[in-house]
Amino acid sequence: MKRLNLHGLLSLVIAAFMAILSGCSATGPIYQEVDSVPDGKALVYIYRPGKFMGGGVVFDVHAGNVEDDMAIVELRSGGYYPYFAQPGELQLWAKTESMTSLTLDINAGDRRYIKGTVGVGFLVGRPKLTEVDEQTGAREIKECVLLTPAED
Amino acid sequence: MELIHRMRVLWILISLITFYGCTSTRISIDPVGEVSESNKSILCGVVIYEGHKSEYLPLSLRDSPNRRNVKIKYQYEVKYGVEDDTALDLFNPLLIMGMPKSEDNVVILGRLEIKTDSGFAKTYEEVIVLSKSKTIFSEGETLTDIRRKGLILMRDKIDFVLSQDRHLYANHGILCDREE
Repeated sequence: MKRLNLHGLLSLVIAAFMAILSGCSATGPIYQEVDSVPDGKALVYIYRPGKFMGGGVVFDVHAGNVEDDMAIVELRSGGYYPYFAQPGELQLWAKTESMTSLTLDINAGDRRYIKGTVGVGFLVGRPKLTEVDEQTGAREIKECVLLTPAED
Repeated sequence: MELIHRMRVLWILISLITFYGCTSTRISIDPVGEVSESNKSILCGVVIYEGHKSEYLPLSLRDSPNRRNVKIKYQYEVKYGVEDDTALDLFNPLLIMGMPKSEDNVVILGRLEIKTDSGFAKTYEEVIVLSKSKTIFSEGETLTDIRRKGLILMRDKIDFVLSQDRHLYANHGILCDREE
């Protein structure tokens, strides 16, 4: 009887854990390629493949310097967001217990893919941003759903 | 019992010494020498540069509208390589000791083309690889910081190789005059 209770408790904990994690995954319309980019701008896809590891960690992706920045999207596991960028140097960054940042040289008409992942951290998972080639990005983003823009 | 305790302490100390400083950024580049004042080459011509910041343009290049016969084109490319952490990292006790968990790379490719209407042409291609390893305690420099460091190193590298070929440019009349 005691054993049964333990099993029941364990199942409950696992179920609650899965329910919490599923609430952290992205929900929204499935991926659709952006067919028109505003004149003089570039298209930067920011996406995060759905993964169990770090799936519960959600982070904002910002554009610009830390002092003068704009939150673009709250990047959830399995989500993507198309960002129209001005030509020039574009710094993208995200932060939990540590900061990740990369800078791109953007030209009008570019189509770029920025992949977000979560790495092992001391207390919480750490965000990572990197640029991937168009072939990889176009393949991986198909599994993602559209996220809404971040509210500043 | 005493021996086991000592062995544990020794193991911790060895691990700490081994992994200390593992988040430093390593730079792979042929040594860049100093460009002396007497060796400095300033090339004049129509400079074509598509970068967005002038601080990454080699200091030896000067845009001179009077020298339409000389075309100087400088371009660079930055590639990022970021390793993903694996699920095994979650169970690796050595990470707590400061063992590196993964590595990030920034590769900078620089290319300089110099052409004149008289048929002279010279191209330089340089590569710089900057790598950093990360621990659970520190991520080290950001890729933005490493990129900037790499582009400035590339600028200095191009300045250095141009200074080595100073006589070549003097012979072809590509060096700037004093008034320019």
